[in-house]
Formats: sequence, structure tokens, C-alpha cells
Amino acid sequence: MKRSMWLPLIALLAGSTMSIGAANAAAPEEATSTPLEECIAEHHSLSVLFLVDTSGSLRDTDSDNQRVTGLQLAVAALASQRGAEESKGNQFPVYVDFLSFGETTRRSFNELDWPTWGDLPVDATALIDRMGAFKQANKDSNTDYVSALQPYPLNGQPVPDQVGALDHLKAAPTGTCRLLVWFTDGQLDFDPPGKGGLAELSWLPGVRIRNENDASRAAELGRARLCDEGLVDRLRAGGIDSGEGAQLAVVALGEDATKFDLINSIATGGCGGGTPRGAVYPADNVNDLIFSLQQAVVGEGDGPKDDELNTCVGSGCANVDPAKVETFDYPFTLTAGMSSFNLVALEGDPGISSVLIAPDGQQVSLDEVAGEQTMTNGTVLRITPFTASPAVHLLRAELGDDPNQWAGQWRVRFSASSPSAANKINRAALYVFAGDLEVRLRNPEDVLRRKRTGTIVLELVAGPSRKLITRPEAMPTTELSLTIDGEPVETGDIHPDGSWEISYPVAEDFPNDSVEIKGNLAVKVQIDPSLPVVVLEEWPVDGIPAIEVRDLPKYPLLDGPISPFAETLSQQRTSVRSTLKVEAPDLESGGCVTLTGVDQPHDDADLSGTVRVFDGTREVKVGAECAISVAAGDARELTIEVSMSKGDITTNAALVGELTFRSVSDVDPSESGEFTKTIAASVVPIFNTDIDWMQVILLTVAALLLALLVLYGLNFFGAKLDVGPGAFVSIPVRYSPGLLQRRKDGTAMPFKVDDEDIDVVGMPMPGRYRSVDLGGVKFSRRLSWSPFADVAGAAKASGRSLVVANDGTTTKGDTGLLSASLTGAWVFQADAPPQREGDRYEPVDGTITMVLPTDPTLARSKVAEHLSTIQDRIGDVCAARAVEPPPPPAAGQVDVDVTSALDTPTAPFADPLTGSVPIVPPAPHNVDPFGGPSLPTAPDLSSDDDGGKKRRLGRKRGNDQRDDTGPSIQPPDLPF
Amino acid sequence: MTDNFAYDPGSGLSTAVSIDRDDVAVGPPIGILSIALGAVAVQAALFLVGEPPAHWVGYFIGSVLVPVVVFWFRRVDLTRQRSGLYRSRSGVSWLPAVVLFLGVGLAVAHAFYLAIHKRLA
Repeated sequence: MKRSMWLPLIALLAGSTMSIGAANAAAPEEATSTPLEECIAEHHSLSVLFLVDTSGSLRDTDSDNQRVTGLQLAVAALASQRGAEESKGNQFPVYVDFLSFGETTRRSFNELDWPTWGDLPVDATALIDRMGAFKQANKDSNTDYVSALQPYPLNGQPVPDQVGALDHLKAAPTGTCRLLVWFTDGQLDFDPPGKGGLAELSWLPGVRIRNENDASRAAELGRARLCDEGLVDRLRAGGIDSGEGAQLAVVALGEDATKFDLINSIATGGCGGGTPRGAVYPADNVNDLIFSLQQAVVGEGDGPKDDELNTCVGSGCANVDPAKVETFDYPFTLTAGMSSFNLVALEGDPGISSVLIAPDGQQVSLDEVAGEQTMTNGTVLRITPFTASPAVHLLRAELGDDPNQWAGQWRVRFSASSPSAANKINRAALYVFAGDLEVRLRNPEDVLRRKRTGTIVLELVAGPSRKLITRPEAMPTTELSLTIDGEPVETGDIHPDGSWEISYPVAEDFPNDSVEIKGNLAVKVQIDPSLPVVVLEEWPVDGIPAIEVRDLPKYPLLDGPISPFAETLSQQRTSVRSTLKVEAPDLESGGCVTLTGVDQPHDDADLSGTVRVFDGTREVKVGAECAISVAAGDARELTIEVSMSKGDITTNAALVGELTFRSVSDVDPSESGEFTKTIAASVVPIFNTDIDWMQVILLTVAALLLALLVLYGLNFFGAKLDVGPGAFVSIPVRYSPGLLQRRKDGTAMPFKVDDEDIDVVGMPMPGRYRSVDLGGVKFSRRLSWSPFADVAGAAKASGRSLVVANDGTTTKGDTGLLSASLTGAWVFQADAPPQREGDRYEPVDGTITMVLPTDPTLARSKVAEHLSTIQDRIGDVCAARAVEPPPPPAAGQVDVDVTSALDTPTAPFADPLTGSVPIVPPAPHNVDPFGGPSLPTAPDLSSDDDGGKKRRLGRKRGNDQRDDTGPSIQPPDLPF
Repeated sequence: MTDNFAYDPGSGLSTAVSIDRDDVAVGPPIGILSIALGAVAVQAALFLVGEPPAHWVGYFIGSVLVPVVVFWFRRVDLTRQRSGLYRSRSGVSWLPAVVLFLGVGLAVAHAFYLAIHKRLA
């Protein structure tokens, strides 16, 4: 019953322009086949000789070396076809060799690189890599067809190191079918020596070529040698399984068809005599070349002939309408009876990608998958990677065991994201390999009875695992023709469950003890509606065992099977029922039936059940003699009940058991028969899908916490102070409202920075620090509650309750605020909070620490530039934080003015640049300590001084929008 | 490095400013934001895979990777803003927040799928 179909290798391989689809579409007597197809059918082997043009014109016509990719693809496809055959256990040796022709003809590879007529392995990766050497073979000046076939005179001796195609075909392995694949991009042509050509041709000895005229004359002689003197005829002589004869496949690259008149006539007739056996695969341009070369070797394939496909553009390309085939789809339909397919896909542009789409909707990108991948329908994909641009894919797919899983419409879809690829044309080719189909008896123990019409049930199974074909999409069109004992019987159509029911009446006087079933199974497949239906060769149906024929017994019969259970077992349904027919059809066949044995149903794991048999409502116990009584001519149905008894239902399963009955005749108790019935009950668990909302909440909270944790963590670990190159000064100062003065030896003087104030040694090296101590001030990073806020700096001084820095102070006032960079930082630390005095406040002593450039001149410039800002900032803070003076002393106490001369701003103002000491009135503080224009009077805390307000506002605008209005902390700098 | 005195970037008196100044105007680090957007796109694409491992990956991309990248963007953006040569780009200020909330939102959506359980009835 088993039969292998040689879909592509017999009928598709090379040299033929007719695919197997076309060949087999017609009735067998109308089918035409090429000599190669006939030879392969007989010899199951192939020798392919590649005759490759190496003329210099290739540098212009094929600058991207697409011919090399085409040759590599052809060899890979050939190896893949062989692999597909061998995976089914069919031997199909394939031998290949390569000749390069131009000025002369030689083997393309030496013996080490590729042996003469080497056996092509299924994994041809090494050979394909070596074939990359053809990229450099494009420097010959001639295109010498004569030398390509025979590089020496007709009656001469072979030339050392040269070999023509005719001699090489003759040396092909004995009994193999020969195919000559001849690739060229030009006509028979010779260049004179002045243009790099040869002065003498090896097949035309003694004739000197000196100029263009001589070269033209040599071409004429060459044409005559080929066509008139028998060189081409030798290619056509005899069979193609020995000698010089071969099927010829010409691949001609170029738009100018007239250039190829000669090579066309060599292939298809017109040059020489005899019957041509060749075909031409024109390639107008290099984009066609790859496809033409592989088709020249492995044929056009079984897929749609409209193989020039558009490109889908846009995001909707992933959506597939199963009922619609688009212009950018290459569709093909697979049914049971097929085992594998090879697919070639050529993308028309580097921006295009191709996807294989299975009937169940699974999509596999051919661009992204390399190596082996198993699809959900069980199909194993093996993709051979090619280095080519645009991409070329060769896919070998071995279909899974169960056709019900993978049968249906497949397609390859070409798509791109860029509209520029919309007008690019893609190509595809498909090669399908047949598998196994078998017709078998559904119930091998069935018997036929004389005087009755029996039913024979046959079923169609596929693949090594003999899977029953039940899905309509998986069912090929079949025609079953049967004979029973040599007589044709009506089979009808196959049922949706994959079976045929054949009614067969057995006469009372039927002489034999059995009947023999023979026949043929014809299968029709149609890869695509655009293709004709292919009628495959018929399978002989010859493996069905003979069916026993018996007389109607004198006891009740239980011939039929237990009916299928209408329902399945599950957690919720622990018991299912079916029926079994018992009948006494003959007048003497009345009797009783005993249930003699029960093999309780069970599965392969730990599930088991209990079966019970009921006759009406009465249970039939095992061993109860004659529990079921059947009168002659009566018939009724027993009820079979299967209940779950052990095990947890977690997966699909089947409980299988057996019932054995003994039937005894009433008329003649010595007449009895045994009946064994198989029970098969399906177990299908019921699943509920529910949502664990607690898990949703927990994971949601965790996601939010994780995000916050990440932000806080990064803030914590990444927050550091930036310390740049520079120095610092730490200077005792007195701040009177609006005026910052230096204190030296108890005397207040104009603020200035002396050279000796600048401390370079105590300054840490430039870098990033968590905290830095400068002159008794501890600078540290300051984190915000906002995870997005910028990191800032803080400054604290031990024992000081009022600390002001660049950005003010904190609410408590004991920490100065500044940015995370110490460059240009300053910190004023008051010895004590300022005391309010009416609308003003008393001068405040303290220390100012500043980070300045190391160069004293630059440092002083910096101070001069920003001193007024510093004064304003300190002034604003002091005004806000001035405290009431202590209460007056109680009676009896002495009122002592503790203000000393040192604490009074009466010291002369010094010019910081000249050091001169002008004598000026001690107060008020309305003079620029650096000798500049007059400063406004210190602000009155009770009223807004217009001048001061304008000045601050003006600076505010000039200060990069900083808030300069007081000691409040700047709001966190939120990122969004 | 920021100069606390550098209220007027053009004064030329601040050595720190003059050292750090890049003569070319800088904008927000769009490249980093693109990484965050790409991560969100991957996170969305993982819904198509539909398997629990893909949902876990999507969950952690949204709850960890996207916040890290947005934080990174914010740090670099703030540093550039302090340079004095910052040129803001319209629309970019709110985009990090959108990306962050989108990432966390998709993480929650992945969590929803992770909480769907098929149980025997």
C-alpha cells in the first residue's frame, strides 16, 4: 500500500520547462516528459556539469557577481532536493562538476578543492563556500563556445590542462543522467591579440589571428565547427545516461536576444542536426539571473507560475486574511500525501523581508531564522543562509507527522516598511515532495456473514505515524477503486472522518471463507487554484488483510463496534454512556449472551475507569450466565457506561479497555461464539480562566515602588558635590546692613582678599565628593524628597546658628543652600543671629568662606564682581532672621553697653586695590567698599526702598532668573 | 561643572565657566530619550508574544529599565541646562514624563496578563 511519489526529482529536475504539475495534469497517456525526466525515473541518479563563462564582459554585465549567488543557490537547491529524497529513505546520488570557459576551458577547481565529478553531499556548505572563487573568474578576453565543448581539433588529441564539456560528460559516473548547465553572457566572440585575445586558438592550430578581420573569420569557423561539423550533434547523440549526450539548460544573461541566437539554436535546434534536448532560461538582467540559474538546475517547481510578486508596504502587512491571496503573496496549498517542500524566495530589494505563513497563521521570518526551527504545526524548517543582497532564501521544510495540523493554504509574503520598495518585484519557487498514504481496514476483526449485507469500513491514513486524516483541508481529492474477490464494488466518496463505507452483500451460498480486497487509490492535488489539478500515479491498495466470511450463527451476534461516546469525560462529567447492538437476525439465532470479561479502561498514565453494562435498566454483571437473553429475530442495544474511578484529570487522555462476551444458542447450546469489543472514552479536562486581582494589585504596587526605588536609589548613589580646580578663602567679616566688611585685628575694613588668604593646600583635588570640609564649613550634597529633583549642596558650620550660602538658607537658618558645584561657592557663618534695633538690625560678625580661582587677581575680580550680590543675599537673610534684643535688665542690674569699638563699623574703608586708607565718616554704610559709585543706604526693614528694590530686581533679571528675594529654599527643580 | 558665580555666562571672568563652556549650543539628550522610547516600544511588542516570560520581561522593562533611562535623561539634561548654552526643544520637556508613565502603565498591563491563570475547573 505504501508508495512514494517522486514529485520533483523525477519530473521537475532541470532542463525541462514543464513542471510536474503540467506534466501530470493531463491524463497519463497525454503526459510529456523530457529525456532527463525519463532517465531519472529509470536510473534515480544525476550528474550535473556547470559550464561557466569567465569572459571579461561579466565585469560589466554582472558587476555584483549575482551569477555566483545563482550558481550557489542552484547547488544548494540540488543538495536540498537530494536531502528531501534521502530523508524518505530513497537513494538519489547526485554528482556535480564545474568547467570554466573563456579563452580556454578548464576545470574550475583542482582535485583538492572539488574532486572530478564529486558526490554532492546534502550539506553542501563547503562546496558553496568554494564556489565564491567564481567572483574572480571574469578576466578572459574570448567567449569561445567551441573550446567550451572541445578545446582541440575534431580529430586531434586533447590539450594538456584543458578539458571540454563533451569529454567531461563522457567521464561522468556510469549510468547517471547528465545535465549540462551552460551559463554565458555573450555570443561566440574572439578578440585580436591587440585587444588581449589569443594569437592562436587551441582548436584551430596553425591559424594566426592578427586583427579584427582574423577574429571575425575565426568566429565564422567556430560557428561552422559547432553547427556544421558535428560538435553540437554529439551532445544530442544517444541517450543521456552514458557517453557525451546530455540534457542542456542554457542560462543567457543579457537583454539583447540576438546575441544569443547561436546558443539558443544549440539548445533548442537550428544549429546542427539531431533532436535537440535543451531549454533556454533567459535572464534579462542580473536580478533574473539568480532565479534562472537555480531553475535551470532544479526546474520551475510546483508553485504558482506567476512568480513575480509585489511588495506589501506598511504596518498592516502582518495581518493575513485567510480567505484572500494578495498580489504580494506566493500561495500554495498542501494536503495529506505530501512529506516536505523546498522553497526559494528572492527579495527584490534589501529593504524587503519575506515571511512564511502557515495555515494556522504562524509567521516565520525567512530573514531572521537560520538553522533549524520547528513550527507549532510540527513542520521542521531548515533555512540555508546565503550572503546576498537583496536576500536569497532557500528553505527546506519537513512536514509534521499529522497532516491535520499543517494542511491548508500556506503563503510567502513579501513586505517592506519603506514605500520606496513598493514597486520592487520578488520571486519565489516551490518544490513539493510526496509522502505516504495508506488505505487500511478500520476494524481488522470485522467479519462478513452469509445471507447478510455487511459493511466494510476503510480509512485513509498518512505519514509514518499513520495519522487518520479527518480535517477536510487535509484531505486530498481521492478516488478509490476496489474489487472484492475480483469484482468491482462501489466505494462512494470519502467521508469527512476519513473513511469509506462499503456495503457488501454475501450470498447464502458464498463458497469461500474470506474475501480479498484489492484496488487502487488515485490522489489528486492542486497546489494553487491557478494551477491544474495534478493526478498522481495511483497507489495499489494491496495490503488489506482478507476479511473472514462466516455463516449466520445460531446464537445472538454482537458484530458491530461500541458506538462512539457522544460526550467526553471531564472533572464535571465523570460518567459517559454508549451503546452496543446485540441481535438475533435468523430464526434459529436466538440465545443468550454472557459478559465473560472486562478489561477496565485506563490510559497510559494514572487514569483509570470502571465500565458497566446495562441491558435496559438492569446491570449485567461479569460472569452472570445468560444475563442477556435475545429471542430469534430480536435486536436491541446494550448500554455501556464508563465512569472515572482513579486519577486526576489534568490533560487530554483516552481511557481504553475491552469487553468480552460469549453468545450461546438456544437451539443448540453447543453453538457459541466469542466477541471482544474495544471501549475508547475520551477525557478532556475543563479549564477556567480567572484573574488574580490581588496579584494584579501587588504587581502594580510593586511596579510603582520599583520605579520610585530606582529613581531614589540612583539619586542617592549618584548625588555628589562637584569640586573643580581652585582654592578657598576663609575671612572674618562683619556684616552691617548692606555692607560686608573684613575684620582684621578687631577692626572692620573694606572687604578684600589678600594673597595670603588664598588656601590652595586645603582644597581637595578636583572630583566628585559626598562632602568636603573647607575652613570649618562642611559642604555636603542635599537630596530632595522629589525623586526627580536636581541634586543640590548644603553648607553647615559647627556651632553657628545662621549660615547663608549662594542660594540662601534653610527654614531653620543653620544650613546654607547652594548648588552641587563648589566652584564659586560662598558661605557666610554668623557668630550669632543679628539683633533687631528698631527698623534695622545690629551689625553681625561672622566668617565668610569662598571658593575662588587660585590666581589672586582673578579671585579678587570674582569677588568684586559678585560682592554686591553676596551682600544682598546676606542682608535679606539677616533682615528676615533678626531677633529681638534681650529684655532690659531688671531693677538693680547695671545697664552695660557691650558694644565695643571693635564691633562698631567705624574703621576707615580701605581701597582693596591700592591699600590706601582714606578717612571717611564712620557711618552710614552708603559707600562702595571697593571705591565704586555710591551704594544705596542699607534697606529699611519696615519699608521697601525703591532704589534697593529696583537694584535687586535688576540683578534678578541678570542673574539667570535666580530667586533673589530671601532665604527661602528654592523649590525642587522638577524635571517635567 | 557649574560655577555658582556664573550668573552671566558671558563675563569671561569665571575660569570654571570658560573651561566648561562648549561653544556649540546643546539641547536635551534626545538619544537617551529615544532609548527609553525604544524600550517602551519593545515592551508593547512583547504583548504580541503573549507568553509569561515575555510579560515578565515587559513588566521589568517598564518598572526598572524605563525609569533608569528617564533618570539618566534627566541627569544629562540638567547638566546641560547648567552649562549656559542650553537650547530647549519644544515638546521635549513633557515627553520624559509621558514615556515614564507609559512604561509604568504598560508594566501594569503586563502584570494584568501575568495574573491571568488557567486553572482546572
